[in-house]
Amino acid sequence: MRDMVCSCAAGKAADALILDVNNEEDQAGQADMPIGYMPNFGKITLLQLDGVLTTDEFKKCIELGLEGCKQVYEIQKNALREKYFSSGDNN
Amino acid sequence: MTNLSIIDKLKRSKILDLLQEGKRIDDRALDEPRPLVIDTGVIPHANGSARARLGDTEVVSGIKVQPDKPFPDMGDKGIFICTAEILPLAHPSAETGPPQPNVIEIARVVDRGIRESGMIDLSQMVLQKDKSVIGVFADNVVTDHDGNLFDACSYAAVAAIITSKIPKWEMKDDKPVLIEDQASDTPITTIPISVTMGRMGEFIIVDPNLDEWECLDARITITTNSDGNIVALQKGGSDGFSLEQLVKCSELSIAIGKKIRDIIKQATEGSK
Repeated sequence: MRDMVCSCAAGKAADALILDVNNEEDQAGQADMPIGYMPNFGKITLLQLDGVLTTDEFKKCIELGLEGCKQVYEIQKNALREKYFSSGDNN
Repeated sequence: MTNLSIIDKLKRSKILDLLQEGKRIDDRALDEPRPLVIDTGVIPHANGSARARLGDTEVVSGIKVQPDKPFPDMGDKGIFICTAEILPLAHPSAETGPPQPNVIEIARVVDRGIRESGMIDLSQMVLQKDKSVIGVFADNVVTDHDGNLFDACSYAAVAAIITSKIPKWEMKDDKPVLIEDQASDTPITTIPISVTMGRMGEFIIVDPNLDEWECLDARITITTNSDGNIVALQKGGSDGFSLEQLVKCSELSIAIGKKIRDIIKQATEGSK
């Protein structure tokens, strides 16, 4: 296995860039951008945007989303570690 | 792309070799879209129509305007729906039958770009709130396929919408009744322009033709509005982009979108 895919959405609501857009923020907000990311490759493998962003906001929004992806990646890794490596008997 | 035939593998290595020298297989610059020609009023009986030729890719778009029920959660807005179809004559690989996933994606990407930009002021298209609204339907037909159907469909649909007229209806006994000879211009707020870019190795190419399209690592379609803001974006293909590449793509989509917008404006000016 070369990498894991992690994902997180970033967006814009009430003129602020936000991470992990919830349903209310999506409905009332100005933009919603889900991101799929492979941290080892540094590659964005999924990206979709609905809503209006300036180029500057777009860049900041991806950067914000990638920070969220990296947090999710750590949680994913820790969950796997705990399951398979913490008890020492591999189950 | 997976399952490349031997010919496609050879083609890919040829295209990549050329890109290393800063050239493309059809002699364009990496950031140069193919020539765009827009003709309007090509279907006289439609409420609006246009033909877009992007290099050797050709799309005809027709607009149909008719009263409809609003979406349940948007009773104070008219509706806009975009469809796409590839005619069998457009390419040897195109067949009759229900639309394939790649064609459904074209319709969605074009639809999203136009919808999210708010191009048509749908709040002006209400006959009776929650009951009856005016629907604008943009049907795109691909008649010649030489790659990048996303942009060709989008340019044809946008030009067709700009030239379209909205007939007048009045509510009588809870039903919309057509008032003859009272059509007005479609309320346009902005002109959304999509720009599709592909990545091959570390190279970003604008408006890939079919040879290039078939061996892309990944692609991205970014739609911008008249203010130069990004309004919609869709990534496709099995591989990814780096952050730097995406920022470059967003800048390209604004710069190229501006030029394409001027072409569409010019082509649609006389027909209003």
